[in-house]
Amino acid sequence: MGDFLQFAFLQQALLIGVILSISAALLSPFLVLNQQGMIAHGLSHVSFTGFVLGLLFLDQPLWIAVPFVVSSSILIQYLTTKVKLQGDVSIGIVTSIAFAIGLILIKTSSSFNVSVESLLVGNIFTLRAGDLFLSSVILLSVIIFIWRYYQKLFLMTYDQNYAVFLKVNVTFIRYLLAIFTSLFIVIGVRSIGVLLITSLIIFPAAIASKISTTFKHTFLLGIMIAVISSLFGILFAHPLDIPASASIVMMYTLLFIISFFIKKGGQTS
Amino acid sequence: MVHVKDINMFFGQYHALKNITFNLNKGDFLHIVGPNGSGKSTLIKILVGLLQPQSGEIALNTSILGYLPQTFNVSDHVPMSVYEVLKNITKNETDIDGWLHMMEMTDYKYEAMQHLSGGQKQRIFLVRALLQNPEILILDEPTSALDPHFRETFLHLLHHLQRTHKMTIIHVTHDLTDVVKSNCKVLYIDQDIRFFGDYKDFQNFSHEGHHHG
Repeated sequence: MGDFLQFAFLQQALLIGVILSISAALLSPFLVLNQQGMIAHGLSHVSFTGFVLGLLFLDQPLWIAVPFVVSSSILIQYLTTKVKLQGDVSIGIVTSIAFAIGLILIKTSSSFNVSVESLLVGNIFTLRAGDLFLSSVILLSVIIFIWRYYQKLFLMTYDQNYAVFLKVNVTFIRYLLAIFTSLFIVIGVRSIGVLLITSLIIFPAAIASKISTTFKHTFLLGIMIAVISSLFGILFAHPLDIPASASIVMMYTLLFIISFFIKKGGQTS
Repeated sequence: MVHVKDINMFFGQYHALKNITFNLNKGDFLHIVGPNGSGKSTLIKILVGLLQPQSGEIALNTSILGYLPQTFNVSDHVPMSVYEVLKNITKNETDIDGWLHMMEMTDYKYEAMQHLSGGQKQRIFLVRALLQNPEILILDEPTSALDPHFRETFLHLLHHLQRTHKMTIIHVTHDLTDVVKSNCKVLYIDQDIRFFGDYKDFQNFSHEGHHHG
């Protein structure tokens, strides 16, 4: 294993994988524990169409994909907060429409020559230095966002009504959370793929919250779980010649199963 | 301190609150009583700004409110400690320790919220409300999850806060046995106001059979 670690593409893949996993783990508790995790799933499907549109019209598809996914996340929040649709209904509507548009474009466009599988599954081993830069920008942005709004996000997560009572601008922060989630999704999709990018958001808090008794520990343990899963997932993926995204998810699954056998501190059976 | 005038609240066609009007002075203790579904919690949510009435006026001579909601929309699967909940409200450790001591919850300062009983959680959320040093404290059925021993202690505590902190207290209850002190006001509502006045007059009102079933 030590031999292939010297390959630059693997080092880059490990670095991007860890950076993306940490970004996702930072967002995870505020989405998953607030029952908003499915927005990541929805936005991953929207990003599929965003990239299809981008690849059809530009050399740099992100210029279209990013605003497309961000706009969709804003639309989902608007449908939930202003039109008063239930969250999963808003996600389902926007996701379905966007994905359908993507499929139609692929089928009807003769100039679309990118593998659909590559969009769905991603390939972290073929990314470039620009992707490392973008991933780092996302991580830094998420860190700043979480640091700035941590107390309010925590309150909104465990008692949204009380946050409203305390005049926390819940709507604004929810829009920000949706936007940062969409930015993570659209940057992460090329590494992890449309189908499995959601797992990076869901698993950290899902696992950590089973073991931790404080929110801070859930947060930090989630980051640790994310780093371990991405590192070992990528390391095993290459020699086994399996998609890195799937390998990462299997690492998360293993940790998820292990978490069932770990009791929370002080809890009796 | 509290001025409420002609509050009307509709949920669709249902007229939940009709022309609710009352005034409170600083340091008043008000019990809001009424049967289930009478609009007590709706009125409270209007007072704390969670709901907007279709008509009417509310004037509170302070922006410093304390609020203990009836049913906590607190997610049971969010791991968090008592300390995290309270530190989220204030950085003042002295205040946190002081109110925890008053609630007999000092030993639980670093305990996980998931390990607390319903009554213990309610005490912590009362501490959360008091940490804002409110001039008006609004409690929506706070004794519902408390054991009998602490229920009485809790009510005495509220009256103590009224006396020592000159706190205006608005206490919603469906249990008339909570209304035990003579130096308080009572607002009995059943969509509209059936009684508003001093407790001693409310005793006559309730003896005449105008009580909820």
